[in-house]
Amino acid sequence: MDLVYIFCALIFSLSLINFFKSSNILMMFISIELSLNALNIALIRTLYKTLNYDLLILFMITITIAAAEVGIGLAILITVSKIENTVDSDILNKIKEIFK
Amino acid sequence: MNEIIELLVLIILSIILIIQILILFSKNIITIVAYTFLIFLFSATIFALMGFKFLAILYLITYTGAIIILFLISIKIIQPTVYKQKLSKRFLPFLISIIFSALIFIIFKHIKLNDIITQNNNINYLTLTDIIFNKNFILVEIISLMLIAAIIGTVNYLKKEN
Repeated sequence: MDLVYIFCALIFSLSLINFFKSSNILMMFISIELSLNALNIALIRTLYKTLNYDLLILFMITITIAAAEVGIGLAILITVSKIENTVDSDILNKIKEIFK
Repeated sequence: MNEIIELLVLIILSIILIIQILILFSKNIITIVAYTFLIFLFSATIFALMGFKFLAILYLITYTGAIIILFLISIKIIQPTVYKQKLSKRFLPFLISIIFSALIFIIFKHIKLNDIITQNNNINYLTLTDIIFNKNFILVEIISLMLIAAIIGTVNYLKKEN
């Protein structure tokens, strides 16, 4: 087994722990970014090993998803935090009420 | 040469792992963002070491150039008091970031990274563009549409609030 994949799995799991541990939504966003980063490293490692260049598109999709997620997520967060004056994950319930 | 690169990749990955653990125990959000910046920088270095210099630069532009700045601006809007904390609390990660950025710059400049992709894999940037814009054209178009939808959605959402 390639050691790089083990490292990627460890980085991914640490990001997940961070995601579930924190109550700050900004921290949650950063954790998602870091987990996607671990995924990207594993993808590029596979590309390096197999030389299947179609994986490049998958890599680009991951980057796009990360960028789009951060853009929309932070816009919602800024809007809600202006109303509630907090970035705690409890405001997610408020967002649910807004969209009802 | 390949063994040295493999070793370097593993060393950088272990540093990323250590930074992840540091993030787990950090409380200041600015420090965490600084550490995240460092992780993205190291990831880009790994890509460059593996021979994908184009992807490394793409990664640097997207993550450290756009996403980290977006995070910092959001923090500035949401929690302006964080910036008023003592400088010593967030000095160390920024110092480490500057030192490692200089180191990575040296790696980018002095190691002939392009040789790995052109000699071993028999592929150049022309074939890369062929893969992206000819073979997977529809997928790339879908990705672009997704990104445009995200931009319009963000602007629309912020406008609605006003």
